[in-house]
Amino acid sequence: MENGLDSYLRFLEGDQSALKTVVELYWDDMLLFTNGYVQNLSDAEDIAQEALIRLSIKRPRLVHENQLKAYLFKICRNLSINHLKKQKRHIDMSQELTENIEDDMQKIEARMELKDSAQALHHAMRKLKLEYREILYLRYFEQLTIPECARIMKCTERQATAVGYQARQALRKILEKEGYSIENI
Amino acid sequence: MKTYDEVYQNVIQAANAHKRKMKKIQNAVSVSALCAGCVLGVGMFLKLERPMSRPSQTEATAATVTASKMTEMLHTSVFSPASSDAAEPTATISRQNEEIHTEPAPETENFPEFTSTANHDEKISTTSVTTIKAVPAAEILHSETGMTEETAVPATEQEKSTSVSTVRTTVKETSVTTVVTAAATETQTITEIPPVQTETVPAEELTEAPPEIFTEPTEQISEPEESGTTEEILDPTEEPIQTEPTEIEIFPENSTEAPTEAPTEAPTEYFSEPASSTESTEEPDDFLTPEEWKALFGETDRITISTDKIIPELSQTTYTTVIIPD
Repeated sequence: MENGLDSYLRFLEGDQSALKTVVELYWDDMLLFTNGYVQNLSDAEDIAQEALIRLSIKRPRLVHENQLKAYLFKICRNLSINHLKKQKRHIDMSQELTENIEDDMQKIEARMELKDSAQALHHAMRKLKLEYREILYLRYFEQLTIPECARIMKCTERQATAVGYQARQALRKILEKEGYSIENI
Repeated sequence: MKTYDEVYQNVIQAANAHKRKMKKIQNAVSVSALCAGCVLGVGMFLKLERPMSRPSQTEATAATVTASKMTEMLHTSVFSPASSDAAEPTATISRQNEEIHTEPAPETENFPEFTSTANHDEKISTTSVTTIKAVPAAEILHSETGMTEETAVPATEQEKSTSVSTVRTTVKETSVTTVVTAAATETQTITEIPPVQTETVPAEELTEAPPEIFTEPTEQISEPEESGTTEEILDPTEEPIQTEPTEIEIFPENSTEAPTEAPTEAPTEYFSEPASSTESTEEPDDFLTPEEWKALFGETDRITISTDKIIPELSQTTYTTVIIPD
């Protein structure tokens, strides 16, 4: 299966069907990442879809695969923050909706074929602060480098490194509370 | 939860909608730019149609009002079928012994510029004095009998006061000029154009122009000449307009400032007092006498002053050394 960058380059040349490959490759990751911010799957879907729409409209010239991923995640992050600002004025949703969202999240995780340990991490990360969750997801789930994480989070590399260290420490404490044995966090 | 296909379809539809929207905006921008260009072009065209030399604003508006009314009335009378023989819009006439500077009137509504070259030897058969009322456009009416009955205006006092130039046709002379020009600089208003009447004058009387008829109209006709290049303006006897004052006061009386451009011959009245001030032997009050110096600083002949306190704006402390002359 070709990587996302090759499909995107074909899309730039005029092959609209190549965009489907890009969607299949990055949709779930973007959804989980965005859901970490908004804590609402339907909103996360809208945000991730909007990120893909902006990619198809703007059509930036990218060279590396990680650049494409970083571009998508950066848009998702910015849109999520905007959404959170707007949502402060709105009423919290009912419990039924949260239960449905939990079911959907499990479906996504199953579709992504996440291991049990990874799923446990996901659940533990939801209890962390937003920036901790952000850096951990980008660094360890998406396998992005520190400079790319810093670009997405709009901070310096040193700040991204420091936040990553603090996030790992906080995650360790949460996992130890839940009874998990942690190695090399 | 959305599937991959749903997401893909939504993304493609949104991208295409955005593309169509941008195309519409581009078309609207290009159309509006075209419309703006047309408006500008029409405006420039209308501006160019106006005459170069203009009267004052009030004169222009008065002339415009009268011109429009006269235009309508004359248009019907002049361009009626009976006068079509005389009205040759493309010919030109030169008036005997007088050059009339004809200009197209401002803001005339489709009134053609109306000139006629008269082959006067052939056409002139009668002697008639016609006073033709002026119109805003530079029109020239050929004064034939048939035409004058319809277009000429009796030379009454009321008409003389209006923007009219009277024209006389002569039989004996070879060149006959009948010119009616509209003085664009006229300030007087004309309300109505009375019906045309002609007066036949014997040829003997035509040698001397009656002053009543020709004095005022000639004055009226001469007014456009003043705006053009005529001898009156170029008369060397007239003194030119002085743009610079005769006396130029550059410096105040007690000023010690030197001029920016050193004059070749400095007028004494400007530089006498400053010159005297530099030659003055009196010391300014700021300097200390030797006794005062000794009292303040002792026997030393030089002191060092830090200027940071004196001039706080300086970024760094500067030191100046003052040497007392012997």
